[in-house]
Amino acid sequence: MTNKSSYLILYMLLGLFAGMLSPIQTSINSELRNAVHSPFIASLVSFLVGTIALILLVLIIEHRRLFDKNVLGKGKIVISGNPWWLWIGGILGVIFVTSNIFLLPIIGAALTVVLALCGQMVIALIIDHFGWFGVPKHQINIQRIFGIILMVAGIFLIQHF
Amino acid sequence: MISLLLIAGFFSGMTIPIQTSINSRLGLQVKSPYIASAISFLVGTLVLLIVSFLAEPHFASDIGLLSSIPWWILIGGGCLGVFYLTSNILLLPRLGSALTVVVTLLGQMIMAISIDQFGWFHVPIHELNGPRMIGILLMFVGVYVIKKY
Repeated sequence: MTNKSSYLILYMLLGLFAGMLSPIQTSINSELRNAVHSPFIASLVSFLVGTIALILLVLIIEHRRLFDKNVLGKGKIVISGNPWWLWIGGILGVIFVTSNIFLLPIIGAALTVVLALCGQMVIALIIDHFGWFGVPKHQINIQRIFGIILMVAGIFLIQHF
Repeated sequence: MISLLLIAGFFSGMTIPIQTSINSRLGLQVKSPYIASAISFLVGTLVLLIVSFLAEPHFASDIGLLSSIPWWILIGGGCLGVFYLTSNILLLPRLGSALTVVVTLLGQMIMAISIDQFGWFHVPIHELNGPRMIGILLMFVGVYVIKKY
């Protein structure tokens, strides 16, 4: 096996592993919710821990960039020269995490994952079609619509059986 | 009731690509996907702090309950979330978007089916059967078709 393809398999295994952790994350957050009796506070704890972990990660990986004078100066330009929506990505993350904490114990893990995935694909097609957020335009075609129909059929089967 | 829940799940998924689009643009501006993620999480934390304070009349005593919770429940969700996010950032340029989505989705489905099958984490047991397996297969074909065309 060449070096390159063995790396590829390693990366795919990492992706598989990371994917497996995702429903566990939602399940642990649901347990947290049961303990504090509130999906909001459970979500808050999860985000607070995540923020601390990411700040540590930034300090380790990006410490050179972070304390570079030129970059600090440019920070002001980034804050003042960009549309307001650049800062609200986190709010969308909050909606996702909090509603999943709420849904998973009721409708089950598989259905929670596939529903979110279908919503994800539909909006991704719309973003591509109109080229929102500076994404390169990619028109909706019959194959993409067929893909969505397959996903909806899949959800129907998973929900009914 | 159940159809409302299904719609809620669908809408919650719709936030992800918008969030990804916004955060990747933020990442270009601050020249680091990690700094962008940290900003995104910080904003989320602040918003949740405000929402929790307003929505929960017993906010202070609920926070007090945290001290009696096992540590892995307390920090597990946040740490796994960051691991998932970071892996995606690392894998995207190396595997491409289609392969990244398919392998992480495969992992998600394997684990989600196991959780439902065995009723882990107090989730009601829901065993895998033929039609459910076909449903999951249809999902994968759908994702593949959309990513390919």
